[in-house]
Parts: sequence; structure tokens; C-alpha cells
Amino acid sequence: MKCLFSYQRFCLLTLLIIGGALLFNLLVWQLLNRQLLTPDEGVYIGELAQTGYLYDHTAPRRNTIDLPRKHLRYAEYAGQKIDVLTIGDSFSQGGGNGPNRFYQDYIASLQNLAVLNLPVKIDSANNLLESVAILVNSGFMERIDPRYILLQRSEQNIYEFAETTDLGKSLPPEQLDSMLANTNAPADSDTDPGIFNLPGNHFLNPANLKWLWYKIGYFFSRNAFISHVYLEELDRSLFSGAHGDALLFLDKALDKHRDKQKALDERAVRRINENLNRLASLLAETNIRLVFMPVPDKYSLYRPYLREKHYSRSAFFEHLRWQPKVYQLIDTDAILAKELKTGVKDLYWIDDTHWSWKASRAIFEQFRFEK
Amino acid sequence: MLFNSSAYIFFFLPAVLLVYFFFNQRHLVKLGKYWLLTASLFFYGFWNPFYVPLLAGSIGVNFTCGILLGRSAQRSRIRRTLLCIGIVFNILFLGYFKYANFFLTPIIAHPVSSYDLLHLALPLAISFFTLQQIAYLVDGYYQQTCESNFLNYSLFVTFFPQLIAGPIVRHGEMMPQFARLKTVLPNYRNLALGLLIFFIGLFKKVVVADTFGVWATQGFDQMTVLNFGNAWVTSLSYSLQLYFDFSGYTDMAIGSACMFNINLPQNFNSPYKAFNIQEFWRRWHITLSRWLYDYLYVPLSCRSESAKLRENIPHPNQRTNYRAVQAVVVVFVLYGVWHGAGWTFMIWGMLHGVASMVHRFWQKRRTPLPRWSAWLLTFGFVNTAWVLFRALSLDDALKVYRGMIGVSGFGMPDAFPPIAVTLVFSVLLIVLFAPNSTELKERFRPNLVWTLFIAAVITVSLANLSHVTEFLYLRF
Repeated sequence: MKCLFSYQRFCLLTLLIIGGALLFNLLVWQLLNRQLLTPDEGVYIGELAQTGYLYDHTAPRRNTIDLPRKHLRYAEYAGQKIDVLTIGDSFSQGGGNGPNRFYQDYIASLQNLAVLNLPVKIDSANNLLESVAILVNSGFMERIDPRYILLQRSEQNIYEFAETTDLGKSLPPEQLDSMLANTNAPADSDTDPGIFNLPGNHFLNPANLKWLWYKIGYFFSRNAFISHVYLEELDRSLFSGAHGDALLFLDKALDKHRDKQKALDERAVRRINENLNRLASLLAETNIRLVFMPVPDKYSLYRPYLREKHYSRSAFFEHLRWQPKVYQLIDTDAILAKELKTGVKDLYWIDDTHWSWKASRAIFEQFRFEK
Repeated sequence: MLFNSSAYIFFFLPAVLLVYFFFNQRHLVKLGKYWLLTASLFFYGFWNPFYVPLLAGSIGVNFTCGILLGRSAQRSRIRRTLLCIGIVFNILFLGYFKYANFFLTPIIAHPVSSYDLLHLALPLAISFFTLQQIAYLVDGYYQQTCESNFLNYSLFVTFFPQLIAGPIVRHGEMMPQFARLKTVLPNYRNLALGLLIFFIGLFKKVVVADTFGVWATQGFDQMTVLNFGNAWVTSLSYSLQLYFDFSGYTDMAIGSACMFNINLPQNFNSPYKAFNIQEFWRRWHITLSRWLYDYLYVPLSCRSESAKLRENIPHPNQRTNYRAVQAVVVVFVLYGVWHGAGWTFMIWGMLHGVASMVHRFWQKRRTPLPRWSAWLLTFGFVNTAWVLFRALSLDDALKVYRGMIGVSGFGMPDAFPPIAVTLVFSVLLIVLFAPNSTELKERFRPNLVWTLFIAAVITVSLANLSHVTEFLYLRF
């Protein structure tokens, strides 16, 4: 191709391009991405909005607790009498953030029970069922002596309960104590943490280009072609803010609809139920009752209100409900679906995979632990 | 200060350029050189000011040696002695900082030993400026160059684009450029070319090399067992990371120098396109290969004095006698050891030495392989050998090798995201079929297409500037 301009002009253009790129990065970072990706201290923004660069679909919130009774964290436990021991994933660690983020506090306040949360992560356990079994077999549960163990797991990760589960595992007490003493972080998250790897705090940031790509991409694709976050339209406003009729959810929630190997079909759910029953029987030997609280994924719960339903609804709860149980099931799907029908907003956070305090309150107003 | 840092791109380089040409335009050429020297020392000392006196000391000793060589009579014993002193000084200087602990370790490990390791920090760029100055002394001995001006000599060694990790430049190819009139004034063509090559290098480093670096680190350092798929993704990721990291650095060095109207020699010429190991070494780290050939291989392999004086040197491919074989092995072992004081580097060098010998003997049989199989064999060998280069220990290397041959299972690369596999093969195809940066430089014209190209490169590169990572070759 011929030379259209001189080398001098090319140099000038290049310098202008560099200047323009710097300005673009500075403006996008300062005005949009900085607050989205590195909010002020004490302010939390949901992982879905951050991952999808959807700065106008956020619900910034602070962690506050105004309930009369709170649960105990393991670091605070000093031999107190415990009624309910909770074990679960990020939902059990207050992963949604915001006001009254721990559902355990609602159990404690509404039902006047002593609740202890245990963020368990045992390397030799293949799933949470085995983790609980290890705690029982190692004598840990005898020390705590709760009346109930509430086992919580979000639906998109529940397939692990269908896999081969060995409830005979145990650990030496010293090793277990050491493991629990070092457990500061929440238990394994709902999703692969790599999905939520956010760029650092510098205005020259790949996040600025991603913002541009996603901004354009969401016009043409439900997930901007490459995002893990899907954005779909609801037929009514079920969230606060300017985009109350937008539903954000993670592609992982769709795995069980698209991947036969991860499908929560009747056979898989039957295996889950069998494993839960086995665990319940094991716990019953030590006079502990098992309560299982699966958390419905956001897509399935809000699906009836979507304008376009591209994926099928999960049938996990439908399959589980009629299975014969030794444990108690908290049917969060039925409770929360009923709540949604009343038009309550922000049952789940618009910008997060987690539910809000409204869901925790609704569940434990309806589900009662027997005295 | 790294080339891929905001401080270098937006502050240091523009400031040095502007002031340098400001002085030159006012006929203050000497002041301009002093400015360049000061800036180069600042650039070097930015890592650790303690390194600057070491560098200055090395420059002082070598310059003095060079001056004395220049004044001594040709073919005199004094002249040879001076050359030996200079070379020994440089080797001891390098050996003390880089290899002392390697040799002390077995002594210290002995039960009766009461010694401790030397807690020495490896001065930055020592491997490079030492070789550069040895070359200067040898060239001076053969009267191919001479520098009597301390400012010029200091500038030759410290010129910041090539100071830290090459290209290894010869005095005779750099300093005459500083002496030319058209070097001292700004040249928009060179500025344009410099910007183009610099940002291509930046893109290679921050976008390509650092991406593959994540997967290479995952495979080498974080996984204890690698199945077949994972092992090959790991090794290929490292091969690509190393190439883009080092060639990216070189591009940024060449681009920076070009803006000052100084042409540095090419250091990479699409090495993964090579059809045999000898061709590979003519394309990979060209200036180091050149140095080893001229200053090690030729003296070791040539019998005659005339050959030693660089007259009528027989073509290396024509020599398969014992001396030449010995020279090749020694050169490659030293090549490996130059990169680091470790058994993995030594074995890596030996492997390449053996491969070179095998290639020589095969060539003599005059039965060339089909091109596709020659390429596959060459690239396969190079990629496999890089595992030793990267592994922190022999056990780490064996872990990867076991995976590559399927001992740990013939699984898919499930430890890496699908995009990793796609990118590895896509980028490999680009490396094999697309023009390299030197070829792009030759095709460059200031038109709309190139402007759009550089706009895209700049936009993506600058956006990835925030997570600054070191260049791999800075460790050497």
C-alpha cells in the first residue's frame, strides 16, 4: 500500500493514539470501573455485576446486623450449648453481603436458638457429606453436641452429593482441630473462583476494554458472547433500581440444563437423597437430626417471570420432594417461589448469585426447628 | 525499571529522547552523550543503586585494558597477557556473583564444613555486559576496534536499550553510529519505526507471553501430576511464553534504540520455523549465538594460527574432527551454564550440543528428511528441551516428561480452560506462518492500514500494562 502520509504525521498520529488510549482508560476507570470493581471500603457490590461489567445493575450495600440475637462463629465458640450447627458453602458464610447477611442470625433471633456456623473445608473429603461424616467419626460432633445439623448447599453444586460418598472416613482429632483452627476463609464458594478474578487497582486496566466489549456485546447477545454472566429481561420489576426488570445469572447455573453428565435428573436426585438418608442415619446414632437446605439457583426461581425462557427449569426440587426421607428438608424453592409471587423485590440481589436477608427471613419464618 | 512499565513508557523514554535531541540540535553533542550515559546509569540503578558502582568498576577495568591493548605492539607477549588479564577478570567477575554458590554448595553440604553460602545478589545484566566487554577486548586484540574515549566506551556498555538483556552488541557496530551526523538529529522515519517495533514488542510481552506464562506456571509449579494433555499444554505454553517474552523484550530494545537513530542487531528470526537444530540456533538469540561462535567455538575448533587470527576460517559444517566436536559440546554446555548455575541448564546445554552433533553427522550422509518431519523433529526437540530450562529442579522436569510420554495417563488437558488449548495451537500457527517483527519493520509504510494496526496494538497493550511482570531473561 502506498504511503498516504509522512513519517512525521504517522508519529504524530501514534502519539495521539497513545494519548487517546490513556484518556479512554482514565475516564472509563475513574467514572465507571473503579467504583464497580474496587468499591469504597465497607461497600459491597455483587460478583455478577462486577464480572459482567454491568455498573448500572448494581445494588451497593454495607454489612450491618440489627437482629436481636446473632449466631456464633467457630472462633467465638468456647463450649457453649449449641442447638443448630450450620455447615455449607458461601451462603452459610454471608456471601451475599448487605444487611443481616447471615441466615443463621434469623434462626437465632426468630426461634431463639443457639446457632454455630462451621466453615468446613476438609481436603480428604470429596464433598460436604463426607466432611460431616468425618466430623462425626472423629468425635468432633460429640464435643459440640448440637441437636440439629443444618447442611446447606446451592443447587448448582449439589451434583457432588450424587457421587460415590464414603461416610466411614475420619481424621485424628489433633489433625482435625488443627484444620478447624486454621479455617478462617469461608467454605468452598458456589463457583469456580477463577470466574470472579477481578483486575487490579490501576487505571490502565484490561477491565476498561472489557467494559467496552460488554457494553456493546450485551445488545447483541445474552452474555455479550464471552461473559459468564447472562442478562435477561423479566416481565415485571423484581429488583430495586433503574433496571429492576433485569435478571443476572451465572452460566454455571445452566450447566445442569446443557450438560447431560451434570443433569439433576431423577436418578441423580435419588442418589442424592440416598446419601443424605445415610448421613442422617449416621447422625441419628449420636442423637443429631439432619436438616438439609438446598438453595435454588437464581435462574430457576425467577424463570416464570422471564419474557423469554431459553432454558428449561431445574426439576431438582420436584424430584426431591416426593423421595422418602430420614432427614428434614427445607423446601426453599417452594418458600421463595411463594414470596416472589407477592412481588417482593430483591429476594436475591440483582447483582449477585446470593439471596438477600428477605429470603433468609422468609425461610425461617416458615421453617421451624422442633424444640 | 522495566520496558513494560508506565514509568518507562510515559516518563523515562520520552524525557531522555527529548533532552537528548534538544542538546544535539544545539550542537551540544557531547552533552547529549553525557545525558544519555546519565540516563542509562539511572535506568540501571533504578533496580538497585548498589549495582551501579559494580558496573562502573567493570567498565573502568575493561576500558583500561582496552587502552593498554591499543598501545601495545601487535603479536607481543604483553598484548596477549593483557587480553588474558581482561578476560580472566571478566570471567571471575561473572563467576563470583553468578556461580560461587553453585560451587560452594557441595563443600558446605559436607559434614565437616563450617562455611556458609555467600549471600550475593546477582547484579542485573552482568551476564550481558560481561560478554559484551570480553568481545570488545578480543576485537581490540585483533585490532578490529579501538576506543580511546571513556565517554564513548561507557556509552557503548551502558546504552540503556541494550544494557539489561541485550542484544549483545559489538563496539564496531554501535559506536560508529553515534559518530555519524545523521544520528544526532531526530529522524521521523526512525521514530515511526521505533514506535512500531516497540509497541509490537510490548504487545508480545504483556498480552501474549504473560497469558501463556499463567498456564506454564500452573503446570510447572502448581500441579503435582500432569497427564498427557496437561503436560503438552504446559510445555507448549512455556515454549511460547519464552519466545514471546524474550523476542518482545528485544523488540522493545530495538524500538527504543531506533528512536535514537541507533540500529541494534536482530536477535530473533522466527526460530520456531527452523528445519534443523543448526538453523534454530541461527534464529534464536542470534547475538549470543554469534558471540559464542566467534569467541568460543572458532578458537576452540581451529588448529591453525591463521584461523585463530580470523583468517580463512573453515566453515564449521566442513569440520567434524574431534576438535570441532569437542568445541560444539563445550560451547553448548557453556551456553546452558551461562543461563544459570544449575544442573538443569547444564543438561539442557548438553542436549543441544548432542543434537547439533547428530545433525552434523546426518548432514554428511546427505539424506535430508522431508520438510514436515524435519520441522516436527526440530520443534519437538526444542520444545522438549525447554522443559529443563524452565523446571526448578530435575524432579520438576521429570514430572513434566512423565506426563508428555503418558506415564501419568493419557488424559485430556482438563486442568486448563478450553481457551488455553485453542490459543496454544492458534498462536503456534501464527508463529509459523506470520511475518516476524523484523519482516514487519521492512514492510512498514506510513499509511492507514499500518496506523490502524498500531492503534489496535497500542490500545490492547496499554490496557494490559497494569500487572507488570518481569522479563524472563532478566534472571540471566
